[in-house]
Amino acid sequence: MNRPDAHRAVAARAGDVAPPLKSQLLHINMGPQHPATHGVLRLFVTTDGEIVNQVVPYIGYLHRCAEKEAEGNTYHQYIIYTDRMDYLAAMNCNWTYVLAVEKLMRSVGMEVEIPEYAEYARVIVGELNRIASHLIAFGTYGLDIGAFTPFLHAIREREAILNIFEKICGARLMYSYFDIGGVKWDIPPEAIEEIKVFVDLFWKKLEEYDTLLSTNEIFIQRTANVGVISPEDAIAYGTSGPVLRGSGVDWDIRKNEPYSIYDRFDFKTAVGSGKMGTVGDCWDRYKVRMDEMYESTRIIAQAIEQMPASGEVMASMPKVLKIPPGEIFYRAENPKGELGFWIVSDGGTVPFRTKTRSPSLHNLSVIEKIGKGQMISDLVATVGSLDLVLGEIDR
Amino acid sequence: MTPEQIRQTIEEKCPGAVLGADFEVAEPYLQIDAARMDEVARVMNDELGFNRLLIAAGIDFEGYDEAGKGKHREISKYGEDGKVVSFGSEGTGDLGVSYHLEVFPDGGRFVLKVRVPRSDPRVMTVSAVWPTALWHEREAYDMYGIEFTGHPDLRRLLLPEDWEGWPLRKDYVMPTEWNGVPLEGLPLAVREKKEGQE
Repeated sequence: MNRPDAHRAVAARAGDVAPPLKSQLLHINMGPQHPATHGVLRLFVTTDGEIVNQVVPYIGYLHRCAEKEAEGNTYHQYIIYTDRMDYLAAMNCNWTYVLAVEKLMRSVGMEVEIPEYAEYARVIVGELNRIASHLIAFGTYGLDIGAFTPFLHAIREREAILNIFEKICGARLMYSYFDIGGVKWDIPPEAIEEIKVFVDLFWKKLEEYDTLLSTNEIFIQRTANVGVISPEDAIAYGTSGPVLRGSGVDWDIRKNEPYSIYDRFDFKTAVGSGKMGTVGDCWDRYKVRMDEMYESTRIIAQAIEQMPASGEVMASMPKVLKIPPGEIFYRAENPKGELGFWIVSDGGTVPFRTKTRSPSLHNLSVIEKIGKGQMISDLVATVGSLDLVLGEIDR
Repeated sequence: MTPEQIRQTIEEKCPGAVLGADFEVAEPYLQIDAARMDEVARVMNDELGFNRLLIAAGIDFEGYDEAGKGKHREISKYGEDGKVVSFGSEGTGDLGVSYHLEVFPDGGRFVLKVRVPRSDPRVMTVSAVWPTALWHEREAYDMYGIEFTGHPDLRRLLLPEDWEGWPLRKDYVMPTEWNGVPLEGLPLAVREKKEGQE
């Protein structure tokens, strides 16, 4: 018997001996400033005792008019706005945007040949950032559930990645390292050495994380069979990334529609298996992220090995980028899911329309459906397992 | 499935709903009658297997350069005193919605487009077919003021509920205040000039 039913059974038994207590629904605002919402998300929750009757998310507190700004800035100027979308995985956001612009250029007959070295540099920083993003997801999920220690471990390893990024591009959070046609700088040799050290160390750390949280009895009690998203719902609501894969759907754009040079690497798609409970529960989504960190480490190790020692970092590009009329929708696999850009050009230096398909937005939209009938504390566990970044939802 | 087959199926099931097509571009699309979008969506999902909506994005065609040269557009305009000024004329261009669909997980992508007059922007909702559209249509309503007929919960998504105007329309003028809160929008050049004068 699951917990909501248990609650009702107790209430029913009490009603047998005494007249039932008068009860009414309670409306609670969870957020906008709430530690479990990872930003400024407001969940308007209607509760019946401890049971959630209805969840209505209110978003937009971080809205910065990114799509409007896109219409007033050139293609290059918009790169810095993509940093500020998913600020925990800024490299990947940059990457998807420049991929979209490059695809648009190719589709209208302009030539863009990304140099080999730049492709490897892109994969390495992209996968490092994926690990950094998943480390935050892992650490803060522990915090949501009430385990403080994993967060400190996660932040320690993320710090090593940020140090590497600082050596590569000078920034620790907003990188703008990608450029249309390549990357801005090469990876210095000392950073390559540091990445190798990090990879060697990180295998062991992943095992350590498993003993910290994955098999922890309290953690399993809080996450297994909680917040189950069925594969049908996951597809219908457009979820992607670890949320979709956690529901047992084998779908990774890096694998299914390989972009960049992902077809050269040997890696597996992590898929939820329902090992601790039901397929698509919070534990599965958590585990998919842990497995993805492992696969990302494998990709980085292979990329470092295959990477040419030096080379061009940028394709030859026109000084002023003017793209003939055309439009493209392009998406790539971000740590949070499928980030996509729909860019319409009418021939100028400024895009006519740029629309962002935000993965977290879709991952959040499913909460209205799965939040119903949960305990309040399980709602916190569920929201945490979706790994939302509000900067990307509100844009 | 080729774009031509998709067109044939839709024309067979919903005669007259297809208004135009272009299969020569990077992303082939069909132009659909806005009032019959829901029927077409149903056919796309049930008959053709397009079970995943990637985006449903609004667009404002005001100022779209048909000559293909593009022109520089200001997204907001400021006078000498640093106050927001109107662009002078209200837009007349059409609004549109673009639906990007996918056959999941087998692959295969297609685009449907609708175009509606600015004076009466109404599109039939597709949220009953693809729940993803629930929020996408709210966003298009929020930013462009496109009414989705039959949407169960058509509220603003990102902006406050009492916000006025449709910000992503090309002729949008930023308000100088909202609920008594002054909205500072001075560009740096104007601000420095003003400070220099004082």
